[in-house]
Amino acid sequence: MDLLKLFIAALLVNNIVLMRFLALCSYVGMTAEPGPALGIGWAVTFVMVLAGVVTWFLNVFVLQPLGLTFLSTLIFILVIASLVQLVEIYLRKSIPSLYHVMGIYLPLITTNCAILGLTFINQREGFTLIQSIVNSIGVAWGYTLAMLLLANLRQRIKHSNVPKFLDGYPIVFILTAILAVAFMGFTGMAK
Amino acid sequence: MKQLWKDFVNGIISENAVLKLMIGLCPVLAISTTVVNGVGMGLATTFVLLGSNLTIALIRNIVPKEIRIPVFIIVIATFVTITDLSMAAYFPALHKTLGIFIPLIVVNCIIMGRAEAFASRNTPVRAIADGLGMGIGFILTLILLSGARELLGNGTIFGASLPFKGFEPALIMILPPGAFFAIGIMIAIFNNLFKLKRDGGHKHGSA
Amino acid sequence: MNVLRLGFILMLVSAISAGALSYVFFQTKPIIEQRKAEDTKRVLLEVLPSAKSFKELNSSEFKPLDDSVMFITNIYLGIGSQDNPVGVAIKGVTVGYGGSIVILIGISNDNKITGIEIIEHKETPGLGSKIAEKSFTGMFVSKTLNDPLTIKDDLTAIAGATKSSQAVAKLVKKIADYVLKNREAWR
Repeated sequence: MDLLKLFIAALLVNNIVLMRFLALCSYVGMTAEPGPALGIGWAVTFVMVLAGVVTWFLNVFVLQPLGLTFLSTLIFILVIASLVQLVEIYLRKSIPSLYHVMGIYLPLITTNCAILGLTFINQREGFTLIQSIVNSIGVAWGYTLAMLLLANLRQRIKHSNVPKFLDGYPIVFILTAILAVAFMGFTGMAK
Repeated sequence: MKQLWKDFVNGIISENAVLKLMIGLCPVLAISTTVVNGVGMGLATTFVLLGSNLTIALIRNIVPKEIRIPVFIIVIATFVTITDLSMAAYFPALHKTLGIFIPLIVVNCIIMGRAEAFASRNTPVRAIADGLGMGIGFILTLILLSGARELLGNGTIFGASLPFKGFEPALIMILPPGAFFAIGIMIAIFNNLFKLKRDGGHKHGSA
Repeated sequence: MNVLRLGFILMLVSAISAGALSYVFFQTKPIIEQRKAEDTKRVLLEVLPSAKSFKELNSSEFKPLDDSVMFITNIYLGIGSQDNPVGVAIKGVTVGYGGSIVILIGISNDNKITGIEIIEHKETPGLGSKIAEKSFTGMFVSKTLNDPLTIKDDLTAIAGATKSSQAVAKLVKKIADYVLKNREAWR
């Protein structure tokens, strides 16, 4: 039950993009079409869960016992960068079909701040391993949900008459503002 | 000297990271609820940018090409952690409000972008000029955005209330939707201003 | 061979970085700890001004609160200028509208609330966030532990933030009952 609440909170209430303002670069940069938005969503989910697990073990069994938590930033970003490399090599060699779907988005993920942000959130909340995994999936799907919502909205405004003043990125942010208003309705839902 | 000035000004308008290149958006939107937060975040990012630009320009000829990126990441993460610890020691309140956005400076695309595109190819002095310009452009953007949000959403400026009465703040501006709304309008204004300026420049024949 | 060379350079860079960070860490550590201690003391004095110093109880020395969402995390005994006990400050956690709310409440020996501070909260800015303002926390001051301490009776909720106000009031009431029942144990 608590895990379900945690999941809903990560997915909707504290949506990583619309409420926590992370991963905005890819959110505005990769949502011109719904297809790539879904591909990058899967890639992020994959790396997020892996990163969540690996950093949990590092944090609980290395950093905290040795009093080295001040090195977290350095170590977590290196873990994510190497994970992305490893996943890319593995997928290309072993599962070409999956690589075809999300492989091309992997290199972009290292600087996706949602992943590093997630590892910090897991660490600061003091989650258990299971909680970290549930939170990682919730955050990743929340990210994918926001990406898909925006990508589809952008499809629809393509042929509509946007005021010239707001054409381009500005209208994307105005749409996001409206999405954020809708997501604020979830506040207080899971606690 | 002229070259340095050009490197410096470049980051403020023509390549303004947030408004023009659309990078480094996350911290800008997340912490721009008050001007104090905005300035704090801007200064922290500028410090990291200067430190990493200088270091990377200094070691640019020693580091082998193949491991360039991991070395950059380590350099940037080191400066970020130094900033994080120093802020915890000397500005605990600000450190607490900025929260995870301080360690997240590591993945601020502005810093990695400048390291890769500029600092690794130019002299340390030019790298500093570039870092300063980019940093000031970032701080100015943050001041404008957080100023607008604090004023409209909270009815205060730098934490002080307005000298006159009768202004009812629109709470939504300091809530998440207000951040997206404000940056959208700001980018629109910036784009339109910039177009005018460029046209004017062509008429006078200046480059 | 090249891989070894590259690996060595990476190791070297990491070592320099770790060294620099350890240096900064040990330089800033005492300052950060001192600030934290000063901060704790300042807030404690705010809620229990009659005390000169405070003695924190170990978590094994007090009973937990019997509740599923509300907890007591710290208990500080206030000591006056003549080494006499003057009251107690209790830090408790509850769940508000947006997330956890941490409060510190000071209670004098004659069972009066001497002050309340909201230490941490994630309530909506501009609405629920007003629980941290004096206009709200001030309502609790000089009430006694036997007062009803409920939103309908002797307290008023913040307009538009009933849930946040309720959460704080309930925690205060819970702690008040707890102190009435258990305080003899710490004297």
